[in-house]
This record gives sequence, structure tokens and C-alpha cells, in this order.
Amino acid sequence: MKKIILMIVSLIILAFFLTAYAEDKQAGKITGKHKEAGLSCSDCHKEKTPSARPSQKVCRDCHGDMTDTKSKVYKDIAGHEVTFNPHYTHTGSMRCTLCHKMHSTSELYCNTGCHHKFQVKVP
Amino acid sequence: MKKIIVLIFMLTCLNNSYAAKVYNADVVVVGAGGSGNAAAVQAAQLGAKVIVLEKQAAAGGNANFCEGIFGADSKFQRSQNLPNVSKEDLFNKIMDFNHYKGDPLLVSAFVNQSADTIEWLQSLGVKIDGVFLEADSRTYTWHRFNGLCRAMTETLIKSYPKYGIQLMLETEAKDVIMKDGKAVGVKAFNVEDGDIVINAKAVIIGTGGFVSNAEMLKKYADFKGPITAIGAKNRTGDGIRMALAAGAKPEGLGTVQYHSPSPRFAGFAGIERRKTGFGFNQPVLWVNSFGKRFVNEYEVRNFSIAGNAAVRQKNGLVIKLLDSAVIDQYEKEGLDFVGGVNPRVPFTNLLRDIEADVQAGNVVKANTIEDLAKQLNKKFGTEIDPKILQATVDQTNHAYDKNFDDLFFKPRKVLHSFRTPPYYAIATYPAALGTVGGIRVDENCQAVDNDFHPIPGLFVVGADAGGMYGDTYDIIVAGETIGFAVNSGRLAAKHAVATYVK
Ligand SMILES: Cc1cc2nc3c(=O)[nH]c(=O)nc-3n(C[C@H](O)[C@H](O)[C@H](O)COP(=O)(O)OP(=O)(O)OC[C@H]3O[C@@H](n4cnc5c(N)ncnc54)[C@H](O)[C@@H]3O)c2cc1C
Ligand code: HEC
Ligand code: HEC
Ligand code: HEC
Repeated sequence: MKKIILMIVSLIILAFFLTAYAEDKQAGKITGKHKEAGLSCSDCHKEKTPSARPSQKVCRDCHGDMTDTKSKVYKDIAGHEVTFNPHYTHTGSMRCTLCHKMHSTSELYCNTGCHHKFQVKVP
Repeated sequence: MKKIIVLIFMLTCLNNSYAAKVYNADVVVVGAGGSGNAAAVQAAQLGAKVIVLEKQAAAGGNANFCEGIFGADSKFQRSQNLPNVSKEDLFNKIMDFNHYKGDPLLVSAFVNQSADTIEWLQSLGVKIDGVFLEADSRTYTWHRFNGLCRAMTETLIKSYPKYGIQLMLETEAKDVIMKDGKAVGVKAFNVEDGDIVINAKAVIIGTGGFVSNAEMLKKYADFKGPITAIGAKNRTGDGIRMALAAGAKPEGLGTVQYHSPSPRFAGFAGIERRKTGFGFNQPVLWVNSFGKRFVNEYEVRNFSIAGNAAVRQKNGLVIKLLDSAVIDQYEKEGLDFVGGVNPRVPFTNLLRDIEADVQAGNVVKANTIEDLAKQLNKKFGTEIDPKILQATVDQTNHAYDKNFDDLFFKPRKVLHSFRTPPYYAIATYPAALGTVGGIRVDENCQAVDNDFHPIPGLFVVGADAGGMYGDTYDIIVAGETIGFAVNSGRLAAKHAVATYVK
């Protein structure tokens, strides 16, 4: 009985993936520096036809954990200067793809996930 | 054919999802907030291999918001020559406040370790500006962090690699794994890896209480209506639920750290927020649904006490009123109550912001007391008889003229008249910074079962633990919540390593 329920559940999940994939097929373009650098889908997706979002481990395999990057001076919307390193803050080393979106516009999680209004361009 | 492929695919999916990834540690800490981070670093310093699980994408919990930490008889207090801050003074003060609804062994362990904890934080690189009086009713116990608590969190988190601590963000702990009556690990869910298992010799739970869990609030809090949570999101009581399921005994579950009643429209941390909220959160004139005063409004500086007074009122509804003279005074001289260690400076543009909120429908404006009552009744469902409100206003004016409030004895320095129209009023409701009770622990912060025996391997710290407070957060001793979080984390870590790891 349990197995049947699990099967049904997994069927639903599968159907979901299939439709999601169909919708995102065109969206799955490689952009910017990754395109220049000649990356292919499988560099991140580790599968021939990407069906799910890759783990951030793939980012870290190429880029490292980014903890050696430097702080910079940014401004918030009120014009206050704030100095920080988006990759090394009080919040721990956050998932790369919270900020860097590979197939849509990147965003600063500090702004979207909290109340900040930093004016920072995220590549 | 197609169906078979799908079936095979599904079965592989099933197999994969069943092989939960397994991690091994000496100590697993649940929650990377004020208590969890301290527990992790302390345990690792003592030689344990530590894994920290954090549900949110970002670490820090409420320790991203606080400012200063409790200390008793610290070097700072000594060098500043501060009165009434010996361990004896503060132990007695805390126990008096909770009238032995708290646990004296736990309170003693907390007070006795607190000065050492400040030096411990310094040894890790945390900077402290000194001890401040956070409001004039408090004790000189508030050791303010340079860069506030966020800087403390940052320092602890950045020391993780040095101590080999593994922090797993977006990882929600689900259950304590119990074996033969011992806590031996945690089941969790990671956003990328799915179900995972962490085997450990000890489990330290510090998930920050349940102030975002409406169902638990309704069940345990004395106020049964909605309570606005101020601070970190998603404090859903996971740790308390997990510990209860593991057989721990509850304690102090109903102790809500109420804040001064707050407007619902503004939220709290919004940077673009208008000055209206602060402007009204002043000791001028507060009335309940019936137009009566119910508190010495100067208790605004003791937020848990102001909160207690508010939640006794019908619907928890508190109307805060300002007249035009006091707004003018605040604009020129500054607010009566500033909070924190902020200087008292002219609170300019208050009227402009209040008028903007009148336009936005958040603030009621009237030229007569009668119209004020009428508008409030219509807008906020109060039942104010204009005559009663007039009598309240008369009492306020009388107190101001006589320089003596014979109803609630509000201090002279914050007496105001209420005579200059237009009058402004705002509706405020119960709000809370958190909950500060949950699981009964012993003086090592080890959870005890319903027979009062410690549960092997299971520790509960910070806002998930009971025993520090009675029914009310003792606001008069400033810095006690983050103080208890950090100190309880250390107490648990020391005992966990000594007993279950070594
Ligand atoms: C605005 C504000 C100002 C404050 N100012 C002060 C002050 O000046 N002085 C003072 O003493 N106190 C202050 N406090 C209180 C203090 O910040 C808290 O008491 C303290 O942070 C509590 O520590 P904690 O570890 O118990 O919980 P938190 O710091 O909240 O940490 C709990 C963590 O556990 C995580 N978590 C929850 N569920 C799970 C799960 N299932 N799995 C994994 N992780 C989970 C949460 O996401 C969170 O990160 C303030 C609080 C607020 C909101
Ligand atoms: C640099 C790494 C990277 C490369 C290269 C890349 N992707 Fe992605 N892909 C991601 C990430 C990260 C996501 C998650 C969503 C996001 O960040 O925009 C994603 C999401 C997707 C998704 C949606 C999956 C889901 O279930 O949400 C599809 C489909 C996809 N990619 C297809 C492709 C295709 C096709 C290519 C090659 C043309 C490609 N991707 C190349 C990183 C990459
Ligand atoms: C196969 C290796 C590889 C992987 C995997 C990879 N990257 Fe990159 N990435 C690169 C290279 C190469 C560049 C270009 C570097 C440069 O120009 O300095 C780059 C550039 C970037 C940039 C800078 C873009 C800009 O316009 O300045 C960002 C941001 C970035 N990567 C994020 C990510 C994230 C997030 C992931 C995971 C989803 C990821 N990368 C995965 C190799 C990789
Ligand atoms: C909190 C949001 C955030 C997260 C999380 C984040 N980044 Fe970034 N990243 C930024 C911002 C903002 C910049 C642009 C910094 C600047 O102003 O130059 C950036 C720049 C970059 C760049 C190009 C510039 C450089 O310094 O080389 C790379 C590569 C990069 N990030 C990779 C990553 C990887 C890999 C991760 C995960 C380990 C990650 N980022 C996580 C916000 C983030």
C-alpha cells in the first residue's frame, strides 16, 4: 500500500518535472561570461538534457567558495555607504544561486530575502 | 513500452530518494542563531567535530537583530565602576523578578558564567564598546557590541572553518533520532540533497522559539488573538516540537516576550518606514477599547511590561494618542523615549509623516474629542463613549497641570497635556520579539524527561529552553535574551563534550 502511494506521488512529481522542462527549454540559455568561456549545459547540469536545477556544488567546483573575495563599498537606496563582501558576510556562505540566476535576472538575496535596500548589481 | 520506461524511471527515483545522505559528527547543533553558533564554537574548541543545521538561507537568526549582551561583574562593569551589577545583585534581581518561577540552578549557572562569556567572545575577536543603560529602568548589564550582535554572529560564523565546523544552510531539522532512550542524531531536509541524516553523540537544539507559529501561540500564549512577530522569520517551534517528541518535559511554554503594542500596517524593520510608529510609541496617552487609560504609559520603555498591560485589554487593542502640541515638542526637542543608546535629537518631520499616514488611512485625525471617539469606533471597532474619553483627557490634563498623575503615577518628566487640536490617534496591537520558554532543562541545559531525569545526549538552549523567566521576560535586566542564548549554548556544549564525546 505504502509503495503504491509512493509510486503515485513519484508519478506526479515526474509529470511536474516533464512540464517544467518543456516550459524552460528555451529559457535554458547560457549567457554572459559563461557563454564567452564556452560552457556547455552539462558543465552545470551533469546530464545530457537538463531536467532539474543543478546543485551549487558545481559553481563551487569551478569558482571555489569565494571567501577570498574583497569587501567593497556599496550604497543603499537612502544613499548610505555600506562596506561588505557579498560572498563573505554574517550570514554564512549562502547558496550561490540565491543571488546568481543562470537563466534569468540575478538578484541580491540580501534585498529579496531580508529588508535591505542595497544598490548592487549582481552578475 | 513508454509506460515501462516511466515505471523504471520512477523506481530509480524512489531508490535514490530513499538513500538519505548520512553525515557523522560528535555534536549536531540545530539552528545557527545566537545560541547555536555559540554552542558550535564552544564544542569545537573542546575538540568535538560539529555540524550546524540552519533552516534559513542565511545564518544568524535573531542574533542578526540584537545589540547588547548581559554580563555580571565583568571587566567592563568593573572598569566603569557600575553599581548593582555583582553576581549576587543580579542573581537576586532575576530571581525576585521571576519569584522562583525560574530555575535557580540555571539562573546561577547563567549569571556565574556571563562575565567569562564576554571574555570568551573577545578572545574570538568580538568587540564590545562598553556597558550602557539601555533605558532608565534597567540595570547596567547591557554590553553593547561594536557593530551590534550582527558583528558577533559574523565573527563566530567566520571562525567556523578554523574549528572545522560544517554549517549547512537551507537545512531544516525534522526529528531527533532516539535510540535506547538516547539522542543519537537528527533527521533533516536539505534543499539540494533532500532527506539527510546526521549521526551524533549529542544533539543541541536552539531554534529560537515559536513566535511565528500561530497555532502554538494560540495554544500556549495568554493572548489568544493574532500577535505580530518582530525579528527573524520562520520561528515555528521546530526545536520544541522535536524535543517534546523525544520525551522532554515542557517548561514556560506560555512566556511570550511581548513588545510594546505595535501598529499592524508598518511592520518593524522597513528602512523606508515613516516616523509615525516611533512618534506614537511614546508615553503620552494610551487608551483601551473603552477610552480608559490602563497603564503608566512610561512603561513603554519596559516593553515586556507594556506588552503585558496591552494583552489584558479587549482584542489587545491599544489606541495611542498625540495632540498637536506634543508633536511640535517632539519635532523641536526630541522624543520622550528613544530606546537603545540613541541620542535624544529633534524628531523632525514627524507631523509630515503622520499626515502622510492620515492620508494612507493609518492614522485618525480629529478636531474634537467627540469626533475622535466617533472615528475610532467606526474605524477600529472600539466602543468609546465620548464622555469617558473626555474624562480620560481631563484626568491627563489635570495630572499635567498639577504635575502629578494620581491614577498611575507616571513620572513628572513625561507628563503632557492633551488640549491642542488636531488630535491624532493610531491603533496598535500585541507584538512580540519572541517566545522565551519551551523545554525544561537542568543547569547544563540538558533536557529532562517527565520524570525529571536528564535525557542522554539531548540539550536545549536559547529561546527553546524554559527556566530563565517566570511568566514575563525580565526586561529590567538588559541583554538577558541574547545573554542566555550565548551562555546556554556554551553550557550545553561544555557538558555535551565532557559527557558524550570525550
Ligand atoms: C529586534 C530584536 C532586538 C533584540 N535585541 C536584543 C538585545 O539587545 N539584547 C538581548 O539580550 N536580546 C535581544 N533580542 C533577542 C535575541 O536576539 C534572541 O533572544 C536570541 O537571538 C535568541 O537566540 P536563539 O539561538 O534562541 O534563537 P535565534 O537567534 O532566533 O536562532 C534560532 C535559529 O534556528 C533556526 N531554525 C529554526 N528552526 C530550525 C530547524 N527546524 N532546523 C534548523 N534550524 C532551525 C532559525 O532559522 C534561527 O536561525 C532581540 C531580538 C529582536 C528580534
Ligand atoms: C553555469 C551553470 C549552468 C549552465 C551552463 C546551464 N544551466 Fe541550466 N540551470 C542552472 C541553474 C543554477 C538553474 C536554476 C535556476 C536558475 O538559477 O536560473 C538552472 C535551471 C535550468 C532548468 C530548469 C530546471 C528546473 O527544474 O527548474 C533548465 C531546463 C535548464 N537549466 C536547462 C539548461 C540548458 C538546456 C542549458 C544549456 C543550454 C543550461 N541549462 C546550462 C545552471 C546552469
Ligand atoms: C565549468 C566551470 C564553471 C561552472 C560549473 C560555473 N562557472 Fe561561473 N564562470 C566560469 C568562468 C570560466 C567564468 C568567466 C570568468 C571570468 O571571466 O573571469 C565564470 C563567470 C561567472 C560569473 C561572473 C559573470 C560576470 O558576468 O561577471 C558568475 C557570477 C558566475 N560565474 C557564477 C556561477 C554560478 C552561480 C555557477 C553555478 C550555478 C557557476 N558560475 C558555474 C566557470 C564556471
Ligand atoms: C548574497 C548574494 C550572492 C551570493 C549568495 C553569491 N554571490 Fe557572487 N556575486 C554577488 C555580487 C553582488 C557580485 C558582484 C560583486 C561586485 O560588486 O563586484 C558577485 C560576483 C560574483 C562573481 C564575479 C566577480 C568576482 O568576484 O569574481 C563570481 C564569479 C561569483 N559572484 C560567484 C559566486 C559563487 C560561486 C557563489 C557561491 C559560492 C556566489 N557567487 C554567491 C552576490 C552573491
